[in-house]
Amino acid sequence: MEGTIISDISGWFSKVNFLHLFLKLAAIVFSLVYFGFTVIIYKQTTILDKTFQTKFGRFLILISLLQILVGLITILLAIFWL
Amino acid sequence: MDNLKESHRTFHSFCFYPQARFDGQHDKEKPILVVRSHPITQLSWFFNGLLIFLLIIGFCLFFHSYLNFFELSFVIFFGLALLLSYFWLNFLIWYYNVGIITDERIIDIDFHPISYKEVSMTVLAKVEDVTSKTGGFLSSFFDFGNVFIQTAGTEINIEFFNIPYPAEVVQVINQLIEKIKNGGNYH
Repeated sequence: MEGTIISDISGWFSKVNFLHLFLKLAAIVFSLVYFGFTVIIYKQTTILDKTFQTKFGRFLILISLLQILVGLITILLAIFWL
Repeated sequence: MDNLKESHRTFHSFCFYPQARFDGQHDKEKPILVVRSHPITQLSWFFNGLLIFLLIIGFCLFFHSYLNFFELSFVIFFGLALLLSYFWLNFLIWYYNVGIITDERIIDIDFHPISYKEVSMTVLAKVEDVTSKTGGFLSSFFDFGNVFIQTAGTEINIEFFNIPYPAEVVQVINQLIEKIKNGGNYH
């Protein structure tokens, strides 16, 4: 019984590609940090647009919003594509 | 100066009578001049971005045999997204770091990345001295420099850094102060 568990675990370890797992984990962490960063930039843009309103304000907010979308895509890619 | 219409110079870094409003603007207050750093002073982050781009290419060339197609594509996508964010953040810092001169006040909006925003203002009547400083080859060639606005009493001193046409800014402020001291309205 004991021998079977140990052999199962060692079998699992031999099958898992640790380098790939590490890369995937790093990618997910970095994507989450990037996503947070884009959200902060968006919030800052909206606050600054209230402080100083110009005719380009809405356009700048839209681009910051698109960045959040890119951040979201990177998270999804890191989870499902890698 | 009274005859000036809305105009923008040096990539919107020197705008006369801009169509802009700011937080805390009075009903009859009108922005006369909006200044930002001269675009030539922003070249450093442009070149940094170029360097990051070259690093991404170098990374892909060096590691392409160790990574599979999906991993390499992710690295390229993530690298480019980071690069665009870097450009965007620096553009926002440039765009929202403005000095506003109205017919009543001088306002300095400072935006620092991620978490810091500072708005300082002083009324024109309390301005005691306005000086401009231009030094170095680039600033002489492209005509940009610093403007220091010294105020009376406890009012905060205001500084505009690397703005285009500093002498012209000083002239505008002095004319506004003169009009206020003479009891006249700017318009």
